[in-house]
Amino acid sequence: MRTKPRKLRARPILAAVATAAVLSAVTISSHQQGSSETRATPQAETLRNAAGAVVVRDPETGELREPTPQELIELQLPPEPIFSLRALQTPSGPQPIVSESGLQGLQLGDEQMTFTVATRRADGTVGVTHAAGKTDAEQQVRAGARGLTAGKEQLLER
Amino acid sequence: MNAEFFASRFRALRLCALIATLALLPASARAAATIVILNTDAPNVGFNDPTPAAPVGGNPGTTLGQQRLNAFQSAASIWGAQLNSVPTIVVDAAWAALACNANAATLGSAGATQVFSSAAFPIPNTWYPVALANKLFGAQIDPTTPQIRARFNVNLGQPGCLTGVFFYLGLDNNHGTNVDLVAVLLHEFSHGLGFQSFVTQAGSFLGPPFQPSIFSQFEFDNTSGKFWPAMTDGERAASSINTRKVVWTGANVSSGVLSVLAPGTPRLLTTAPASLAASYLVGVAAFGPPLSSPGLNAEVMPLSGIGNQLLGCDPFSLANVIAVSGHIALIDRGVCGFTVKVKNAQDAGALGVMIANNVAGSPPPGLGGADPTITIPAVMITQADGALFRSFLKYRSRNHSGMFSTIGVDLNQRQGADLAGRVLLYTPNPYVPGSSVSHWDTSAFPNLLMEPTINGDLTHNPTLPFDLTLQLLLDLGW
Repeated sequence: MRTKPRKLRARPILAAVATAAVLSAVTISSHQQGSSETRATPQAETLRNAAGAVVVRDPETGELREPTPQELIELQLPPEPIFSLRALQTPSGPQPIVSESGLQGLQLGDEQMTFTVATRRADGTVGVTHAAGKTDAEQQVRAGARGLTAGKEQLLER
Repeated sequence: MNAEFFASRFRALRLCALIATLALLPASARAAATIVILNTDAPNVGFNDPTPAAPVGGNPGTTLGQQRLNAFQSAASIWGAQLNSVPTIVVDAAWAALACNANAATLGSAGATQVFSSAAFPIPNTWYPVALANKLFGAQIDPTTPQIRARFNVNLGQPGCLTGVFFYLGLDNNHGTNVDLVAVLLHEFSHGLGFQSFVTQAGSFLGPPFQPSIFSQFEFDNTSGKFWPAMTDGERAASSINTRKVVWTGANVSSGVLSVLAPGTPRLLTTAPASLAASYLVGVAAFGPPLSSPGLNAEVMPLSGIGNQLLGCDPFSLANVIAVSGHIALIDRGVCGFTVKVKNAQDAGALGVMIANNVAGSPPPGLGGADPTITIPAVMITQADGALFRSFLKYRSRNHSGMFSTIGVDLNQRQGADLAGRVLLYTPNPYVPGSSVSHWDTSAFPNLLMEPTINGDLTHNPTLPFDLTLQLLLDLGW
């Protein structure tokens, strides 16, 4: 299933973090109140797009756009988390994103990271090799020396 | 709101403060590229561990945490001195309890946090790791997110976590039996800087939209004659196990081959019959004489008989002595050690030995063991090649087969490169998740930083004439 790219915000970082704190509080408040997904305001029509993200129809241009932080606060709708917070939570897979300047991108997660695994060989020495993502790394640790079976690491005795 | 949320906010705030600080630094204080380690550990953990430690190997830190941070900064400085980038590269670094048991442990993980694509980049419709994308863009595309994430195992060496094997935190590579953290970091940071294919085992690209990484733009299959972006998913999956046939085509790497890789690729060259005439992959022996050029050329004869006699584990029968005397003996792997087989063949008058693997896969592994009385060369060939040879050798006399081979090295081929001087990527069969494709082939000699196994003899210099990693990054656009 294709996911609609999420647009990155270009707010100054200090202002963005401060705003995030405000919006986070709004999020909690909204969840506690069981807020509805769509609400109309005199200024902007509030909708959800195909990806479920909140958008508003600008009363002046008629075009759909992301709500401003002030509109979110006024609407008491769950805001989209600030990008830096989500980025540091290591999502599991590629998530489409679009930068403020229009660059298409993907947010990567643990399964796109390279993992190094060390295994003690029968002779007591330690070999270091790789795993494909967190899940594979954990499996390698459980299985032992799967990663030490090819190339110059492998010197068979019989 | 859970603990992870608070941790994330904590990290975001620290990143914010860091970037604000960096913006105040004079440009003259920066290296060719500034790589900053963003310590995102909680108090008293990881980089902030206050446990006293004696300075070691040029690392002046006096606490465990400070020494860890110094090792990270050392690796960052090594890369920073080599790369050019106006935007700062931030590494979100932390120590955590990762999977381990008494004899195995996840050392750590690292990689790019994002990839971006732009029509303005040198190759459109191509994913660039965010640090490189920032360099090409000329600014931080997403100023709120570090470009590389690194997590390392805070428990390594403790009881139950690869017990007794620790990260060596010295900066002098004198790691002994421990794991050299700086070498591992240099390797992992390289992945984060772009040394990563991002192609799945099934051959699909990263997406959506599904498109090649800048790394894949340089991958070429010598068998099909295709670059990876021009292949179907199925063709890429097949190419990823086309052992020692996939090469890197970037000009910077190729220009460094002669100064880095040693000449003399081990091989088995069969010259007759014409139907078998080709060069075959071999695994080399840890015993006997080193392979040479032009090498040993002789007629090939298999053993006959049953059980240990057929496998070369007993002193050879008269029939087998007649067969192998003055020839290269073809023996199957199994039952006894390689040195036993080769010594028996030597005692029977054989000039050399090729041992056919009894397990499918490629490349063939090396022959382990030790016997100083062995004076003839021996190599391992794949099970498939052994079967191919045997199909021809079914028709032979008692001491002639008509099959001639040379066991030796090809001085025209650098170790780890093809005959055209392009460096081989690691494409073993079967596929090795996490290792295949996104590393140099293990036939490289001297050992390279970006082989899948982080070998103990690596230097901390990723540049010519010691290593080809920087050259690859230059090919990517650094």
